[in-house]
Amino acid sequence: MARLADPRAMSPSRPGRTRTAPPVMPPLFPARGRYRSYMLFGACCVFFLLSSLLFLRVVDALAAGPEAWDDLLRQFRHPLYLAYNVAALAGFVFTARRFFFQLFAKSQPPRIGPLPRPPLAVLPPLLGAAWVAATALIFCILWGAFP
Amino acid sequence: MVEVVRHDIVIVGGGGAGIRAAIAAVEADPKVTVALVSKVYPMRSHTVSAEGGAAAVVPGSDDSLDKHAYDTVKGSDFLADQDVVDYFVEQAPLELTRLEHWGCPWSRNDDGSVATRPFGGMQIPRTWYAADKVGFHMLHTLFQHCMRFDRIVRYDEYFVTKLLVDGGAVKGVAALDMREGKTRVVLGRAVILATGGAGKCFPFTTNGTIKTGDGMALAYRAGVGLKDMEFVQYHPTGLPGTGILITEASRGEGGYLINSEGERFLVTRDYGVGQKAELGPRDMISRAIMQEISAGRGIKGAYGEHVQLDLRHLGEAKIMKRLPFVRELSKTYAGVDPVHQPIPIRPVVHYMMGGVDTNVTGATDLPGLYAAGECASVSLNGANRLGSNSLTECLVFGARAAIEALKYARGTSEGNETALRRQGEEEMARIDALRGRKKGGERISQIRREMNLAMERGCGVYRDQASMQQTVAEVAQLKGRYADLALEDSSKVFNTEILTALELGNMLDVAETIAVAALARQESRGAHACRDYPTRNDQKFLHHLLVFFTPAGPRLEKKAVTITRFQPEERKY
Amino acid sequence: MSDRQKKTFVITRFDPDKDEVPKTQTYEIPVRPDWKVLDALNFIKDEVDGTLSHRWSCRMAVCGSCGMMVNGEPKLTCKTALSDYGDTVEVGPLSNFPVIRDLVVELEGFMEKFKAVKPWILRAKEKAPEEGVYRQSPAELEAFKQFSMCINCMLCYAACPVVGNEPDYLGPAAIALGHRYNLDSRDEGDAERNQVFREEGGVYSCSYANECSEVCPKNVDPAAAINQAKFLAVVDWAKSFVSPRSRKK
Repeated sequence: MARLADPRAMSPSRPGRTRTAPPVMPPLFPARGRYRSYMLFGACCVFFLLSSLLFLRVVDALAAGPEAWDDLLRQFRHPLYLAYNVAALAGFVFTARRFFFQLFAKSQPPRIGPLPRPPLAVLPPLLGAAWVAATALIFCILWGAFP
Repeated sequence: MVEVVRHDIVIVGGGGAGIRAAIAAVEADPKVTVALVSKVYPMRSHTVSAEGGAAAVVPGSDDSLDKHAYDTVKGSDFLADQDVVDYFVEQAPLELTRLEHWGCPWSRNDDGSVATRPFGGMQIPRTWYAADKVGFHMLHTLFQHCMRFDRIVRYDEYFVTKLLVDGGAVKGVAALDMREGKTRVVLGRAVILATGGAGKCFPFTTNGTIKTGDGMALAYRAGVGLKDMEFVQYHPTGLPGTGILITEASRGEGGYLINSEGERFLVTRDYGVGQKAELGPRDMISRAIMQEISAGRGIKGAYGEHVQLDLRHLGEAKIMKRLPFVRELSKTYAGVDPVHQPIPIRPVVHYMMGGVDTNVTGATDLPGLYAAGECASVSLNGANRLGSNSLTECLVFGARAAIEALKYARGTSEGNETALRRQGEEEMARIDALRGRKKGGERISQIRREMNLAMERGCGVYRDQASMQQTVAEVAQLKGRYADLALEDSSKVFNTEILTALELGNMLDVAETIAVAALARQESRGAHACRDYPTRNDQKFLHHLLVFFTPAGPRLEKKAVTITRFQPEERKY
Repeated sequence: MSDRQKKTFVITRFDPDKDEVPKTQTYEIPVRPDWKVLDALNFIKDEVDGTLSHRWSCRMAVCGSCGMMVNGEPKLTCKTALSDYGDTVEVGPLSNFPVIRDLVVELEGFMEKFKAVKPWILRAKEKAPEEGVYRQSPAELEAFKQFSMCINCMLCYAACPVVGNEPDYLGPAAIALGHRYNLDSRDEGDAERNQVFREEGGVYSCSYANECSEVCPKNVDPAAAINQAKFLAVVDWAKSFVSPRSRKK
């Protein structure tokens, strides 16, 4: 049988005048494609958490001096770390795609203060361009293009 | 024991007219409380389905009140009361402006003023619109606005079954609370009926299932006359099969009607609409379509013969901007995309010009009883209503009825509660006896189907004496069989079967008055086209017909038409 | 009736007078190829079982009465073609709602949420009708028009994964409606509504599943409304520090 929802869901503040059957949750959501995508989107937050922790370690190693840094780089070559990085990259791309290109554009209010929103048709390309630019910048930094 | 609640004004019906009346009442007097009793949640009321627009002269345009009045009177085939028309055209701009102030998203011109579109039978574009969902936006605006008044107390999903009369005046209603299945008494010093029309008497209608003539039947049984019932408006463009409305605005925006030969028959043949072509009044265009079909120029479909509405030349951009709902409806319910294909259409029952007889104030002859909207016949529409006048009518006369009811309520007593309670208890006993009654052998759906067919046969676009006679007899016989109804559902909570049974009773009463009045009007005027008497006869029939209830059957009476400025003339466009 | 084909309908039934919990009942009926799910329910009600209770009215997808779960998905039954389904169709009451009877759900909870967002024009000073209409450009109309198309059919509430877990959540239709008034150039009540939006159960309860917009039969896109409202409510909150407005009651 279907999962029961919170018994107060969509109930009036004063109980109804006749006995009601309790509300049930929408049935078997995970089986459906778009709900899977939503769950995955939520689950991707774990990558953000883990990667932030890793970042703290990086900062810590940088502060501790060249030996600690080399040590850290050696640890990062471990296949588990490499695998994690691949998974995290996939997660970030998925999050970015769903958030920026599917949800973010339409959730922009038509105007914020005096500034009107650019037409909806140009928002996703603008976001795409911003994303490409940011990615290129990061690559340049990693490449050592900037001193 | 029947439970009793008390308010100052009781409004039956939560559509455009009912909500407007409720707002008018609480705004006019800071102390009154209003009961808004509706058999559905108000946002479900059938006002929601109106599409094309609401008519009012735009202040500052080259339109004038006189022109709007003349169009309305001519459209009515000179059976509208002209004092009523004058009041209506004068109030119309104010009411639509008020609605704009309350948030109605009227479509706009580039300068920010409200846009208007042309409509059938109107000389000048004066139909305000919100794309093609005007009724929807009007109703939701009204309903949302009425939420701010705590003194409007809603009784949603309460079905009124009886007007309670004490000392010759209406003092409240008995209503069946659908949720609990109990009859309750709602008392008020005045009652306003705003229950809408009765299209469901017919098999093929644009009307929703809730439009069963409840208010008309309530008033009729309480001894109030029903006026102009013979005039049933057929809308020229409904989808075959379902009867879903394709708005007149699709012609207002430039759509063509074409027959099986692809010919614009309103232009190529003489149907009396002249230069107006597709923008002729509804009665004439509906007749033209029926003539095309009987001349063999109809197109055969799964649901009989039809003609087509062609919007292709308007282009996708205009259709999406002005008529998006027409496109959605055509795709979903007829499987055609009007951008690429013509829409199959045929005339379909749309509106009751007739209803509870009221004067310009909305008052009936029974003290304390008022009516507004489609369920009333304030005599704005006469023998044929012009498209887009009815939404405005709901607002103008809903507000007026409330103000007049309030005036009346101030000078009247609350009525004898013991006597009213006793009437409520009798009504409760009647309803309880009907619930799950196993006695008879008749099925609701069977009687309804037979009534529908009888009405279509006798009271269609074209009528003749013999078939009307037969319809009168059939409906009378169905009323007899109705007494033998068997019901299956004996549960109390949300018993929709008893609701349908009660609605059927109301429809049978209304159907009978339609057929009887139609038979008596031996002429052709407006929407009433009688083959035996193909012309208008002002000598004998320039008057309203009232139908009164008597235990022996309906009784007819004449009522004079108020003619002031516009003398009857030949109706040609 | 040669064009009729048989289909089986598994319908949830519940009568509080008789049943402890909802059960299902199966009907096999002949259907026409162009029927919607609602036509089948009406056929059952009229010809097979008069005790079946469901709400419906306009049968043209604008009154919003006939929302139900069809094969586990919230649908307007008058708009849902039977031909899209196989030989067996399951019809149940909307999920996330208490059930009054059979396919009829409790709407009073929604009516409270609806009223909470103050869905009417709020202005410091109102014009008299004699002074004419407010000017509103087509662009200003376009800004909120989409969010004014909601028919209150409740499908979004039945689809939302938050509604069933957080009873205080205002939910998609109510927030979209409040947001519609906030965006209306004639309205000045956004500070009041934003306060409601920021409260417990307001816009920040939304987890952006986007289910409401997926099931909306009128393309209102409530998910967009909620997430625009999130942004504007926080802008409004930030602004209240910079320039404390004299809040009207």
